[in-house]
Formats: sequence, C-alpha cells, structure tokens
Amino acid sequence: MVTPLTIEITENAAKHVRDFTGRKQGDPISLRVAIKGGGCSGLTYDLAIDSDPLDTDKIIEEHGVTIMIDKKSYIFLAGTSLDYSGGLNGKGFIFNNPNAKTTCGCGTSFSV
Amino acid sequence: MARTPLYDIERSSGATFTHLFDWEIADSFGDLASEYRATCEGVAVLDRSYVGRFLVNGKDSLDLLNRLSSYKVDILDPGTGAGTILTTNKGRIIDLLYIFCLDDGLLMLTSPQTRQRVAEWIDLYTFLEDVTLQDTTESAAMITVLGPEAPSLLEKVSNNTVSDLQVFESRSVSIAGIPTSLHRSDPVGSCGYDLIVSKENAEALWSAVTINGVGATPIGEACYNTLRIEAGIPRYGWEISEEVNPWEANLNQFIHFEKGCYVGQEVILRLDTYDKVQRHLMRLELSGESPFNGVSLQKQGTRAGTITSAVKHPVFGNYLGLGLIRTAYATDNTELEITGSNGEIVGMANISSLSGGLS
Repeated sequence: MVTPLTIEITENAAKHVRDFTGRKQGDPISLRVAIKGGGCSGLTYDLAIDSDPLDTDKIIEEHGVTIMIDKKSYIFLAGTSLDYSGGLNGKGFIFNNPNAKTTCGCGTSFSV
Repeated sequence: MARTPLYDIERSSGATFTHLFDWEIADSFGDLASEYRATCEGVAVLDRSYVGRFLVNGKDSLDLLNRLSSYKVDILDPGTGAGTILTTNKGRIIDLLYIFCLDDGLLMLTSPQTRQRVAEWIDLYTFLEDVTLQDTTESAAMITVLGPEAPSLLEKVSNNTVSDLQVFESRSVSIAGIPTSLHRSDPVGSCGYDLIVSKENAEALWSAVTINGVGATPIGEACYNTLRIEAGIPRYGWEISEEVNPWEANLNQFIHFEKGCYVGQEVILRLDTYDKVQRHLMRLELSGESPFNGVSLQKQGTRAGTITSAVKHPVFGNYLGLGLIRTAYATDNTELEITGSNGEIVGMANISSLSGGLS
C-alpha cells in the first residue's frame, strides 16, 4: 500500500522501463513523471526519460529507477503507483492514482 | 467602478453611461437611432477597452491553449488567429477566447467578466510548460470600428491596406503617428476592426478616427447590444456562462472535430453524437410588457425556455431578443407564452432559428 506522501514504481514497471530503454540491470535509469493539462477529463500523465532534475523536483529511487517529479505535479500524484499491464489486452504503463475522481472513456485522462 | 481611458472624451461628447460588470461605460451619445444607422450604413466607433486582453508568451503557449480549448490552435501563423472555447471537463464554457498571433506573442481576448477566471484556469493547468500570461487590459485602450465604410476609413487614417484582412487576421499600423495593433474580429457579425493602443494614446486615436465629426460616429453599449442581438451573437453574462455548453450557446463553429483530446472533449462530442443537446439558442420576436431579460417562457403551463437577451429596436421599435429554448419547443414559428407572477399571460415570443451569427 502506497503511503499518501509518496509515489512508487512497481518492480514490473521498472523492469519494463529497463526493457524499453535497453538498459541493463544495474545501469542508471532516470524518469520524469509529470502531469499535463488537457485530455478530456482535464489532466493526463506524462512519462519520459529525463536525467536533468530541477532544484524543486521530488526525487524517488525504487527498483533501480530514479523518478523525478516537479513540485506541482507531485500534488496531484502523491499516493500514486506506477505499474505496467502487459499482454495483448494490456494497457502498458498505468498510473493507479487514489486522487483521481473521474476518468474519461478511453482512460488516458483524469480529474481530481 | 473602472473607467476606460476614453471616459473623459466620451463624456464631453455627450455620452450617458451604464454599467457592464465592474466597468462604467458609454451607453449612448444621445441619438440611438442615428448610432444604429451609422453602423449599418456608414462607419461607427465603439469603445471596447473593457474587453479582457492578455499577452501570452512562451514557446508552449499554443500547445497549452490547444489542450485546454475546443478549436485547433496548436499552429497559428503570425498575423492569423482563431476563436476557441475554454471548457471545463464537463463541457461547459469558461469563456470564448479570441487569439491573435502577433509579432511579440499571442494576444488573447476574454470577456470583461472572466479575466481572473481565465488566467487562474490556465495557470491551474500549467505545469512545466513555458507559458506566461500578462494582463494588459488596463495599460491599453481598444476601440472597435464598425460598418460598411470601416475599411475605407481605416485605410485613409492608417495609410495602409485593411480591406484584405479576414476575421482573426491582424496588422500593425500607424494612425496619426500612433503605433496601433489592428485586427479584424467582427463583434456584431459584419466587418469590425479592433484597434489597440497604449492608454496614453487613446484620446488621440479616438480623435483620429472620429475626425471631428466627419469620420466614425461614436456608438455606445445600447447600440452594440442591439446589433449583436440582431445578428444572433451570444454574449458572456447573457447567453454564455458556465451553466451552458457550446452547442447551447450556438458556438459550435468553434468546436474542431478532428483535433484530438482537450478538456471536456468527450462530453462535447457525445452531446452531438447522441443527440443530447437539450437547449438551443433561438431568435425571439417579443410582444407584451418589458422588461424581458431573464424571463421564462412557457407553452400551456410547461416551462419551455428562458429569454436571455432582449432590446427595443432603436429604429423599428419592436422588441427582439435571444432565448435558450428546450429542444422540444425549438422549431421555427413556435409561439411561447410569457407569464406574469400570477400565471397570467403578459406577452408572447415567436421563435426562429439563428442565421449567420459569429463569423
């Protein structure tokens, strides 16, 4: 269970980040997780490889992945678990966000 | 109560004043019928300095506005622009924004009532984007030149071409030596050009355009409101608010159907796809006792709609208006009842579809 004050990445998600970026176990991987405005419900998630932290970023390290979150996105993401759902019907990287009150029909956008 | 930089010169020209939100603005210059005729047959000038104006800068400006609004504005060539509706995730209207791509950034026009709401809304949805908003409303003045003779008057005083401009196009010109940002916005349906200058130059611009009585005829709020009602153009505070969606306000021309996700997109498109629009903006011919604004309309005791705007025509004397009518009653030539406090019929409204509207 994720505490409300932090963000986690599951081991499965971390493994898939490593697979997508072609990094080997033990190589440093750095992700920026952010919120963007837009999307039917108002907010969407943004996930990108990034190795330039801002002074005001919150940094979390888990399962060999460093996650950087800007101050404002963090407010909307606290308590979120970044997971990966694979297979033919899988959705890829998914954000389980307890703050999200509604989502749009296709699932890519949410509101708080 | 705020006053525009043209308050004094309007007052000395015989203007009476009225309130619009927290602005004290010119209502009329003494002869409403001749203001109306000047706008329809000649050239008129209207002080619209109360319109919200923002300078939006930053490389992510258009991308952010595109994600938050209904029209496709991600790519606007310099000198062009677009109207786009800032919407909530439930598809309701925050405001209709007019965006012009100028040399030094984007000019964004809002309704006078929504300056703070629009700025806060955009800020709420700004995360790491490079976007800054600067409210320039009070440091400048904006006058609008209207009428069939507007292009030729403007070409004469600016020594520049104006008649080639399409709606949302802009040009920097010089009028009487004053640097002027000119764009075409058609606020009453027929061609209309907004001129923006620093507030220090406002009176000089007004004089240059009115040319001591032989140029544009000053008009006020009463004439403007009549013209835009006649043209079927919805207005914030009357037809447009956060209680309505773009379909109900007849603003569907500002919905882009191929642009992908934006806040409220799903709701807005589903309303059309599943025929769920419940109310429609219609033209009204009114008879009976005024005032009519905000009055509800009925058909044999059942609520059928609301009158959102109504005016007495300054030349023809009839009452005309706009109303939000429930779908079941929204067909041409339907007669609806205006009922008084005791349920007695005190007037009638004849409905017809809007034609034309905002260009």
